[in-house]
Amino acid sequence: MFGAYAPLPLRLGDEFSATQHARIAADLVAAKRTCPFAVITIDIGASSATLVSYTGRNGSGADAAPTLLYVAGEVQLTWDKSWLDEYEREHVVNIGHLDPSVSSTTLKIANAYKNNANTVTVGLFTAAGSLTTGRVTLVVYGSTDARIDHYDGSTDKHDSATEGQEPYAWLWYREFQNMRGSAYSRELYGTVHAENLVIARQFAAVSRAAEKFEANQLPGTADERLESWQKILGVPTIYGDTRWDVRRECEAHYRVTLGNTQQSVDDAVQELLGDTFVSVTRTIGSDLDTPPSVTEWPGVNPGSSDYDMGGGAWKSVRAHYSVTVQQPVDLNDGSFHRLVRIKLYRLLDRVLPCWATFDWNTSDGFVVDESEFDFDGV
Amino acid sequence: MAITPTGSPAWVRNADHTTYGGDTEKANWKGIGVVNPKTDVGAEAFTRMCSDLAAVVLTAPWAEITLLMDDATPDDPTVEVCNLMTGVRSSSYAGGSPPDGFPTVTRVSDGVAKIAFSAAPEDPYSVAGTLALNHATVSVQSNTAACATYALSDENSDGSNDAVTVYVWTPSTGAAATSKRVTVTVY
Repeated sequence: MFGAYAPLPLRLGDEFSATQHARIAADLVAAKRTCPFAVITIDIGASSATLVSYTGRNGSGADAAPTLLYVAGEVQLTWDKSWLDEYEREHVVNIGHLDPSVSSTTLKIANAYKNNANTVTVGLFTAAGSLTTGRVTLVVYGSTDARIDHYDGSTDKHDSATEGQEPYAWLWYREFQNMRGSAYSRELYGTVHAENLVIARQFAAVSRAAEKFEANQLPGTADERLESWQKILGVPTIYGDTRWDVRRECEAHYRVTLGNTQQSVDDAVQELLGDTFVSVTRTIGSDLDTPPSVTEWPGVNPGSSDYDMGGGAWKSVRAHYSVTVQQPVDLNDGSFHRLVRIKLYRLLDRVLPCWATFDWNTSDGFVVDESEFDFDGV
Repeated sequence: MAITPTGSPAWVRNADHTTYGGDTEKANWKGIGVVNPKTDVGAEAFTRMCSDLAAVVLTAPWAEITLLMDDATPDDPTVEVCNLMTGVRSSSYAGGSPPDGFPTVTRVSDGVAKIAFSAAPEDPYSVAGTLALNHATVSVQSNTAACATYALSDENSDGSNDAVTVYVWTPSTGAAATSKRVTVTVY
């Protein structure tokens, strides 16, 4: 819904549907991931370098262009470490890929290499390998990720059942027109129209407030009271979490407050993990009288004395809850580990009985040497 | 009645966040956030969308073209794949006989081809925008050593570059490399 009868926030529905918005969010994320950070063309001279043209996500022209430093025939381009957009949001410059080309009618070869996250060096060579002068174009790609929730996207978005077809303000506007009767103008201009519109929008705000009150009663649809739900459910905020992340975690914890049955625990895990979830495994054994292997109890299959808390060691895989996960391609390592090592643990630690153990695994084997700082390991 | 979008098409590269409805003063009405986050898009997310789209539009390529030169016959190159901001064609065409909306690609000499675009392409809403090319990158698809360079030109003398000429070379000899497959990205 758009226009005077439908002030922000946008209510998804007939005119701008949830599926259309989802497509916008998805495609914008896709484009942002692979689009260059900047494209710059410079002239490399015998003793200096000159900017020819610059377009970047941080702006166009000389003001946004990196500083050029001529160093022994090559040119160093240095961007500011971060830049602010029109809304004062900070974006860190983190250069990933370089793609140089030569603008010339004769044979020359361009090379570029990265010095650090915000500095690159470019040089122009003859076929024989000597540095030379000329015009070079460099396409610079950042390694900035994007998510659909930056644009209020989420996989559970749907059209509004209340304002999806007609906004509240329009319904109230017609109501006021009818209340005033035929003695008052029904034209969509003039003083009467302006009065009706203003009052209709005010009453629409009341209608929206009632709907908002209802939505905030559950963590999955809460916005203003989401922080309250975090306190109630004991879900702390982790740096980097979006509101969708927080909402999803709160919803998962809320599910099991209704009783930690097998189904509710499984549903909560699936709610929390989303696309990361693969399956849950409980090793029960063929029947109660036939426990699965690795079941230990005194007098029958004694276990290690290390686990004896008095009376012998009691261990059974029946008490183990195993979650198989996968890392979706659009979930970076940091977010994935935050999800399975912190959030999943927090949920299962809370909802499973104290005699149960739990863990996560990936379906393609086991994982070793996982760096908390995303360093390369074995 | 057909709607006319605000601003100019993406390749004109003069869009900013306000073109898409962004405004630093934009806010949810009465300062109240979304009613239901599962059905609503708030002002903060909407302005983020506007800002990011404006940023992406600044650097998105105008065209990515892969063509196969024919210096043996000799004849105009075959355009194998052509991605434009205005349309995508994944089936090949003879460069000298382009379908509507796609560039003309002609052979200039051995290892040299010119790609000429429409000077003012139109977007899906029939809004025309002057094409002003500023940069290009070229690379050669080959299992032998070859490299490429480019030069922009203004074919209709309107002050804006609307064509790019590609030169393919054999580095060891400095001579033109013939009948190569080249990918050109134009900004």
